[in-house]
Amino acid sequence: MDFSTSLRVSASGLSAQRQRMNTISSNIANINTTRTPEGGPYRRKDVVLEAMPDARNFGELVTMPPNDNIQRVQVTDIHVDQDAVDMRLEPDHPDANQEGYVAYPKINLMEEMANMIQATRSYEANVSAIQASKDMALNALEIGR
Amino acid sequence: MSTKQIFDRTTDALASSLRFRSLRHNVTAANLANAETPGYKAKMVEFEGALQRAIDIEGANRAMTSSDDHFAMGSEAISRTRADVYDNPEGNVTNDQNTVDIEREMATLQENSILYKAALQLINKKLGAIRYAATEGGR
Amino acid sequence: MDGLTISNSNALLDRGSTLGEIRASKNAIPTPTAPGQAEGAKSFADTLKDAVNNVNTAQLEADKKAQELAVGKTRDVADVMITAEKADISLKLMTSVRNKIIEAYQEIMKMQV
Repeated sequence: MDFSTSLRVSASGLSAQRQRMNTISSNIANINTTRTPEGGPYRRKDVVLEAMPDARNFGELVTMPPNDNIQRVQVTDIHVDQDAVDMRLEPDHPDANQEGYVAYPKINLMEEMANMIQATRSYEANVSAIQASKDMALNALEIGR
Repeated sequence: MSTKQIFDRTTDALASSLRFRSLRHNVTAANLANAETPGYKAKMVEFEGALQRAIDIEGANRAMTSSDDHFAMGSEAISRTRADVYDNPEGNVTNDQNTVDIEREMATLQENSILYKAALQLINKKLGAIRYAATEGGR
Repeated sequence: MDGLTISNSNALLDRGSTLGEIRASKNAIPTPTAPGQAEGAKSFADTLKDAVNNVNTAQLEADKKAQELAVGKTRDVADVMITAEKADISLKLMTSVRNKIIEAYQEIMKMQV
């Protein structure tokens, strides 16, 4: 088989993990944000990853048979959790409502750190996969050198 | 004996592919360098279709010429093929209107580099075989 | 290649018989010598012709795969490299068999009658 399929699939994994990392950073940075342009506190965001068949250009579709077992990953949606709101009693806060409660985002810092580590490890694993594919192809060039 | 009879269109095709792949390498490197530039649109190079047509056409349209000075119809098709450089229509636009996807550019870079090396090695092998035949295998 | 291998070529040089005859002689009655010698002279040319055709086929296939790689129709680098190497080796093999045959011929011509 060819090596460019595995390169493309690994590249999609890298891209997905990077976008996941972006949302995690956003969650961590906004852990105490009570005011947003949309109104209300910041709400926790999460990526929705979906496996899709490997997209190829038209020339390859014609010459090579499709292999549905090879799927790349794509971020289809960034899910905003509307219920992730924590009410705390702070009557002196400028954003307090009538009863004196302030709406804070319900983001667990430890959970976000764990997700961050996982995203980093996945990214590194994808990079290793790309390196391995590249090495295999380069070794194939050594045939008959 | 003109060199066109010794070096066939496979060598021409491989040499052309080297040229196009180095162009693609430059364009991809430019994309990577401009990965953070606002408003930059990622470019891509396409030469595969044109080169394939040139290789096939050359066999069909070859015309006989009485002298090497005459322009050979159709037999220069491979070396005259031009590559297409245009904006990648599939780019995902981010907030600053930049469509460069770093991972995709890296994957293109790797694949291009490996195919460049493969073409180089095949040319070496082919010319080596001709050289071997010309020197009678060292006898 | 089915016909010409290193061990077969030695047998051909020694006895001047075709590959089919070598196989047949193991099972059947050996053929008389005089027609065998005349057929031996023809079999050299046939064997060499077959070898040249095989080398040509291998070269053409390697060419086709190299063109596909240049155009990007295939990305199977290992397959292209193996085919190119096969063509290379069969060319070198045919050249050394030809050299051996010419050497043997010159050896015979040197003999004082």
